[in-house]
Amino acid sequence: MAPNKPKNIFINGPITPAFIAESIQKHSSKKSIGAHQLFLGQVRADVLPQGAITGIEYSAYETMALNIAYQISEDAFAKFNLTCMHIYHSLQTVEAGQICLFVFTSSSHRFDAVNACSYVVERIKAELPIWGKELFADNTYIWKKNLI
Amino acid sequence: MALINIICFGPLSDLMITTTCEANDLSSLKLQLEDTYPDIKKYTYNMAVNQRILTACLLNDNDTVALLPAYSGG
Repeated sequence: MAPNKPKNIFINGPITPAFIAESIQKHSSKKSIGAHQLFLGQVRADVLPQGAITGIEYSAYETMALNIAYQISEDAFAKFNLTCMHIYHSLQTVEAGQICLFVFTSSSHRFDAVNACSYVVERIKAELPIWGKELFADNTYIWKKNLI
Repeated sequence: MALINIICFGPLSDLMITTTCEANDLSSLKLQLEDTYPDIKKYTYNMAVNQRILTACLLNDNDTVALLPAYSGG
């Protein structure tokens, strides 16, 4: 079921593999679920003229982002036959190689989980007021630009 | 004139833009900010009034206008 009010999606720092494993474990009691789809966004160490990116520092217009995430969640439940879905996004610094975005959709059969996950990730990228500052080893930074 | 709270995000947060401003409507606020801080014009950005993205509206005391450059989450 869709939550009936915005819930927090933000985690300070990286989203740990332990947190992800625990999220999967929590669903073992929901036995109508037959399919899970997970999307994990990982910080890339892109090499730019300034050097390799060591991490990304995320900031957000948090209250607006939570309201939009809630709307995305409501739309996903209206469009797909989901049992549940979760969105987590990092704030603050996430080092290259660590996870910064976790989208988790579950349904009885694979079609809905797989397609809803992709739908939600695309909308997060396009609509959530979140910004990333790409950090370099010499303490300089540039603001991240997403590919459209 | 309405007293407006201004918040800036992403690269616009580096420009040391004022946190309050007096304006009657969104278009005049935008012109005023771009006049005072011309570097804003280097960016494509939306404006949200009390968290709603709008292109034109009248402003009231204590409205919060957010300057939102292109998002880069994920």
